[in-house]
Amino acid sequence: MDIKKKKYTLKEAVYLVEILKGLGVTLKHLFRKNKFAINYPEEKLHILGNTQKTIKVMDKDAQQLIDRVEVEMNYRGKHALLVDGDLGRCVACKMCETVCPFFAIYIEPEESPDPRKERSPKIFEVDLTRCAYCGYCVEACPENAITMTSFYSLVAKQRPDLVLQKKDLRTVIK
Amino acid sequence: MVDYLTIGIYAFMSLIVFAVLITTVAFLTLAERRVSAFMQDRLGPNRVGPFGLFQPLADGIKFIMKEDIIPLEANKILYILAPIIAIVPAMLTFAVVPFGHDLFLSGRIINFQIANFDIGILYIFAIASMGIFGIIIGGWASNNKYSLLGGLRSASQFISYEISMGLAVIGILMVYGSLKLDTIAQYQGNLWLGVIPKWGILVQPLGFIIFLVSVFAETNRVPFDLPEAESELVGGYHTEYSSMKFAFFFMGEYANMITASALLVTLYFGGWQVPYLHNVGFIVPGIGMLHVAQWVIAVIGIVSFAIKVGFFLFFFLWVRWTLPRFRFDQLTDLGWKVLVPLGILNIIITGVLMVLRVI
Repeated sequence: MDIKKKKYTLKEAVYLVEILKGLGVTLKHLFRKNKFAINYPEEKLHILGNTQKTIKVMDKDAQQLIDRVEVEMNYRGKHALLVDGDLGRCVACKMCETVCPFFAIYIEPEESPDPRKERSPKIFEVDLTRCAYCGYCVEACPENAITMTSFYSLVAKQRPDLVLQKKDLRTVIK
Repeated sequence: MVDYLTIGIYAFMSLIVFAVLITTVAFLTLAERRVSAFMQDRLGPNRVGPFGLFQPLADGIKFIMKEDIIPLEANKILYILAPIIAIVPAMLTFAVVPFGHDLFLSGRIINFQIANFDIGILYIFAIASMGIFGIIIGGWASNNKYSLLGGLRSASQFISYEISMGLAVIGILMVYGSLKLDTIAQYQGNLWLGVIPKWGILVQPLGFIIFLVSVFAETNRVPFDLPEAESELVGGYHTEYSSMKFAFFFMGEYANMITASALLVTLYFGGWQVPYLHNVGFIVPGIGMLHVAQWVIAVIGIVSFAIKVGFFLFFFLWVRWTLPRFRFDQLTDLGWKVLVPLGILNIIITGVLMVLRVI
């Protein structure tokens, strides 16, 4: 196949006019107001939770999320143990602990204060240093107790801080 | 008798110019990143200090703290020498650039120019060409094929564009009749037909374009940054360099940019001149005049020079983020087949116009 080379007009061949046009384009971008960058620690992406309801994550940082860009709903971030009213949904059945491919979850059951169910977790640990955010625990849960939030800012100064305890995971549904 | 005070004044001035040069180089690295970011709808480094202004300081500390690696197979002496050769001429060339109006101070004339040589432009050409040795030697001494290719490209590019640059400058020399940059800048305060200032760009528009393009090639800036073409040659001549040695190459490049901008301003944009500002004050033909004190004129001169140079420094960055890199054959084509003939044409036109007494 023959490739036909485009014939340049004199204006294009001299090249200087085209350069000036290009300079105009870059100058326009230089003075453009809305930049795409997000000043991360001060500004954060606001991501809605992965269930149909919007979950309010009880976390100081998460509440400061600035509503700037919305990402799709089914985001797999930090885990959450849902709480209806005062009582947690989890019955400590250890399904999630069993299904977890990375052994990231550790559960120790106790007798539940709630008369409607027998057990509840005394200790519920999620080791984020092991977790790969695959979401199998969410799939396995028969009570829809464990879920994943859109909270993605998972940093800590020490490794033990990344092992989430029950109180870190507790999330109240509104 | 040796006038020690005058020597002292010029020594102090050279110190200040050196400090300003280094500071400008430092902030130019920041400016490059910020401007490039803004042109790409990003924000750039804005973390260190207000608006990221202390970023150069952080960079400097980082450069010093980095491990200084000398490749095992490298020629050690030349390897160390190359960055020094790259940076010293870049700093030296600024010495002859006039950056302000002469100031009469208690019976003493102070030139705002460190050294007022008779050979002015020739000195700049001579010293600036030394800088290329740093790149070639650095490329060779690294004992790395990418570095060597970068150095070779740089050499051929430099030779090609030095000629067109020289031809463009000959036009200027014909018009102004002096090699002294001081005189050239002074001359551009004269008026053409009594109204238009005789700036180089109006007298030598074709020469200006040739000079501008050549200067971009001489300073190894985009679109002629073939010596360091990241996408082809890893890092070009400074692939093997790290730590402060790399910083020296970098600073050399930016110092060259500053000198090139200063030269562009001095030759084609009236140096420190502000239109209609003379020794005694503003004189606008047909309107009237305004007296201005000596020192105010000097300050206005320095500020206007700084603004003009600043614009051209911005222009360097602006062009970098607008144009793609030339291919090597296109580069040499442009140099030899376009710019050199145009330069000769420019000289002929200038000669004819001078005979006709138009300029």
